[in-house]
Amino acid sequence: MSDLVIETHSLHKQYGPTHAVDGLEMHVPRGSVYGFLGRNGAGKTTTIRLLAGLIQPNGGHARVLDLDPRTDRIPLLERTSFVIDKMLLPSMTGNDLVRFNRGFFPRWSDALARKYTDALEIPMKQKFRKLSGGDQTKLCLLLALSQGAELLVLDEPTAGLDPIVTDQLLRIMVDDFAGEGRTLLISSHHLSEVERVADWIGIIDRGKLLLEAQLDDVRANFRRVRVVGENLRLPARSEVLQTRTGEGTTEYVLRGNSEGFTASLRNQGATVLDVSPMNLQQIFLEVVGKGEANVLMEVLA
Amino acid sequence: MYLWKCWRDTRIVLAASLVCIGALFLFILRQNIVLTRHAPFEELSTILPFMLTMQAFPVSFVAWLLGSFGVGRDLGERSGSYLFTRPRNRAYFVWCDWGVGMALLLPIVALLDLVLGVLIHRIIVAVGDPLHGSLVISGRPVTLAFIIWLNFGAAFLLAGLVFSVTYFSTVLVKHAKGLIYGAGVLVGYVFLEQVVPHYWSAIHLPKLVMEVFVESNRLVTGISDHLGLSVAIRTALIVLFPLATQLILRKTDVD
Repeated sequence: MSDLVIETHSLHKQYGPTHAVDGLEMHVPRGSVYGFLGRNGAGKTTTIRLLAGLIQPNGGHARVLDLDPRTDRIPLLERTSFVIDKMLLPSMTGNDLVRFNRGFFPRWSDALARKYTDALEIPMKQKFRKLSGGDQTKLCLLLALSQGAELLVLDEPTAGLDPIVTDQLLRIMVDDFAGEGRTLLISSHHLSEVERVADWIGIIDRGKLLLEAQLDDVRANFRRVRVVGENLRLPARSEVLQTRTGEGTTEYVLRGNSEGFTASLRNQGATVLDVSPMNLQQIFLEVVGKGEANVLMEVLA
Repeated sequence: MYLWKCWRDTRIVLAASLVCIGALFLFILRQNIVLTRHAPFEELSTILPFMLTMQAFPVSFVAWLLGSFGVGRDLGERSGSYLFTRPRNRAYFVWCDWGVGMALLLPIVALLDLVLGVLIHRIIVAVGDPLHGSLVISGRPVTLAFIIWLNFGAAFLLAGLVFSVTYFSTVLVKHAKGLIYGAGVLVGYVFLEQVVPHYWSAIHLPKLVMEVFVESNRLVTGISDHLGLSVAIRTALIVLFPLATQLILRKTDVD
């Protein structure tokens, strides 16, 4: 059994001239909570649809639980919960949807369905189309959690939800689902939420995975270095993502060994003002938003 | 599971149809059929094509309605991602939809046919029933039961065709517009069927409603030739549409 529950190689999906997913290399470790981050239109949902076998790739391949989404859809879907559009069958009530789902999944748990119905206070007698956005999302999650899957894939699960519901859902997903050693993949552009729950992150932009690592490693590896000095040469093999100059100081955003980097600059006569760690949002902006002024607004939206 | 969903979605159509047929039945029973003059008995056979035509409109309408339920509607309502992440082949959903639709059409068509059969029986009785439940077609007595069977077959094949075409078009268009397109194709075909012989007399398109009886000067003069072949071709055509739907869905990106 592979240590990876999701693995893609050169995965490609094109819509007309647009490369929605462009040579994606993604590796989701078993038992992880994987935050799949990207701006709107970065390729997150298309990737998830490819993993679910809802759309066919134009190139490359994917494995989910060691199964090919193109040819092994049924065993894959028996073991994986996908919540993609957050649209169920509009004319059915919550109770109808539970009844409908139960028959599809051999490991379905009525006890879990009851537990989440009570915990999330979902009005199960109302038709899906008449539920509020928050209740619709809760119901999607209830069904996904009750089917006894090994892998739960959620596309923007907290989009449009208030902070209280968001907190409640995140706690359930992490404590109840991932807490039992199962794998959770959450796609989102709400970085603070992902930072709270994820232990791995993958950052996608324009269909390519720009960064994939354990969140702790990411935090440890990215540094912002401010120095005063003139005519500084950057050390060989240093990975500088961004350089900004102004008011006599130069700011470097650095990935990798900051000690070697600062030592090299000091040797050139520079004064290192500070070396500061970066949070996920700052890292995301540097990885994705290089040279793009509008990124900040989108991420914070 | 999915069969239950199909039944849940479509049972209202079945219930409404049965209520309408029941009302028609009561209406027929309450009518006093009095013929002011005894027409020649053979002329009674003219009501047979009328009976079939009478069935064609309501049956087509119900079939068209039933064709709007299923995967096409779910795709139009953006439930496709949810439905197709249930662990079943896409073909499973198509054949469940189609099977339930055809199964519902069966009692609707059969009951309507029986009710119209009761109407003919009452007319036969009103003229004295000289042949004990039979009519004369092409000089030969044919039992009413056989005629009802023939009518049932023709009406069911028509219903099946309308249902299958509509179902196919709703999946093809992935929207409620498919319902309009399906109706457009069927009505367009009926129009062509009428218009083409006027311009090209050698071309006679097959009729949408199977010709069970041969008509001549408004009189039924016999049972159509090659009826078996016609039934086989129409059956194949009906099955062709869910097969095509299945193939299209297999290739369709659900996004």
